Amino acid sequence: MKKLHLDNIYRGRFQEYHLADGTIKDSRRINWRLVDWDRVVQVVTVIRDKKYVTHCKHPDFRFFMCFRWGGINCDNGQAKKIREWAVGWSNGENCFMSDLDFQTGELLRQYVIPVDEVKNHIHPRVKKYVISK
Amino acid sequence: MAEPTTRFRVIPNTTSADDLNTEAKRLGSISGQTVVSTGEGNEADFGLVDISEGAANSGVLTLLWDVTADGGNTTVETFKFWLAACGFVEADSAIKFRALSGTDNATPSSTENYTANATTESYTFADLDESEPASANLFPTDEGASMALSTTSDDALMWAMYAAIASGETTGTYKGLDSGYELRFNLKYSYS
Repeated sequence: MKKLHLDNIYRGRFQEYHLADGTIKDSRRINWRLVDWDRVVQVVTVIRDKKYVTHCKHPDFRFFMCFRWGGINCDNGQAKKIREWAVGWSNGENCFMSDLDFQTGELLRQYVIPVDEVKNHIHPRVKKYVISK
Repeated sequence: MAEPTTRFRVIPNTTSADDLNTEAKRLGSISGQTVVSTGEGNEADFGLVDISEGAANSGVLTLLWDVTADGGNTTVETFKFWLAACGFVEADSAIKFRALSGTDNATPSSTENYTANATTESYTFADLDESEPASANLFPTDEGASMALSTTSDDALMWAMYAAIASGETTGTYKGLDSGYELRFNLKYSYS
């Protein structure tokens, strides 16, 4: 089966996109932007041996959000690259996110961020519904 | 996909506004620019601040940040810049900060237009946050939340800052991780 070219930083790090019809798309085989995002009912994020499940059970759920954080952070005594995978869901106004350390898979923080702050990471399949609000 | 490759540049204070009034000019090589990084000896330099006769300010630094290789990503946004740590012991010592745009932004609101030969009076500076800001505090010149990536970003972020040093501040060289004299910044952005 054809696989996407992925950097070695993705070894042991991937997402599964569970669709409503029971099929599962794998981020190692398909770019997330090509997934039928409006049919995704669960996102499973695997980083090394840690697994996080984001589901759509909340009554306000509208769509999933996935992006990454980059940059430089010097808070803990040394200059360190920010390598975090952010995954969560949105009600169309706010996003309820979890940041995962891309190296270790540790859960770093959970927070709420206005959708306007990350609106360009909204999947193109669902973006039109949000922007038209 | 890979992480975007990025760069920080310091430009001469004498750079004219006309040299920064298009996206292409801001992304291109700016006369006298210096690429800076977290590496020892490669930092942005505020220079010497003489407080022998009381509180004093450094000169104004103008910095730009942009993406030089997209890593297969298409969007970068949510730009947050804040002070990681500083060894200042005086409450009045601070890093002052202002997000800037090029003069092609005719109606700046979250930014101010870049001015050549800027002084500490040229912009409405505020103390740089000492913890992660709740929302973005840097913007491309169109003041949009994001920049599109197509090999490079379609614009650069730009900001001015200076060091305001209180009269009673401990004298010494403030940089990097030097104990008691730390001076470090964080920059965070989202991408996909």
